Amino acid sequence: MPALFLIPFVVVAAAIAAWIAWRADFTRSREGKVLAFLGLAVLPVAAVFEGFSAHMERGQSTEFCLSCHVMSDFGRSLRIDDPSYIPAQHFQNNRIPRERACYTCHTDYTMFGGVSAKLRGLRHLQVQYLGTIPKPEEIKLYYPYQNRECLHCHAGARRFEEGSAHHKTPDLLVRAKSGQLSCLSSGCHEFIHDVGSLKDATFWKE
Amino acid sequence: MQTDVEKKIKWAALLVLAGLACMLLSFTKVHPLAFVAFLTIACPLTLAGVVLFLWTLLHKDA
Repeated sequence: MPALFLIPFVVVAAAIAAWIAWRADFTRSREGKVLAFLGLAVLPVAAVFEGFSAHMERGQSTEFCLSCHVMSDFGRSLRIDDPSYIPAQHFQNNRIPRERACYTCHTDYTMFGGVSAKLRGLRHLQVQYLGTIPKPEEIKLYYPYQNRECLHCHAGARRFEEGSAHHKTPDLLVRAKSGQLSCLSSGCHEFIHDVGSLKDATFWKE
Repeated sequence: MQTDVEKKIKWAALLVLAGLACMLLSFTKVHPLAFVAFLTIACPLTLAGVVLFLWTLLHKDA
């Protein structure tokens, strides 16, 4: 349920709860009992489920990922005016949805994916507010970036399958598809966020 | 004069109301803390109200 509908839904549930709290004696009547059951059981439970779903949906947004200050440089790196930077090239050319730019390429990261990834997301919050926040350039992925995230879109695409750069050696594509060779290897697509060099970069102005 | 059942229903309604109010507040910001507030404050308050209400229904005078 989109937030547009969820908020009025929650407001209606809250209004019924407020009415019952104010006039609890109303529940003596049959109509009052039905209204109380609706407002104090059915609607709140539905609101909790829909609210959770809405929060998970919002958690996939670029705005959510960049809402902590330490991530702002990663957001700026999406606007580097240099097509050799893979995230910037994808973001600026709409190869990924801009409103979900982070989540599109980091599907198993922070609050999403497995349970351990969710626990890491909570740990990030603890570090953000109670710990020592690292410099943006010191932030690394927990695991090497997986080709799976690239192949999810590129596998099967003509430019990817037939591109001359992907046939420099006969087995290059096979090794990349099997994960033996990282797409981000030196000499391939090696320029990623590179937040340490942002001060010297020029940026795309929309 | 409110009966005991009505007093419990009133408390249940207040808990649900507080939970839903926190839920609405959590929707005002797109931020990890809003999600955590939803999980740790809004959900427990709302569900506590629901449980109290359903428990009250089992009361012999309900």
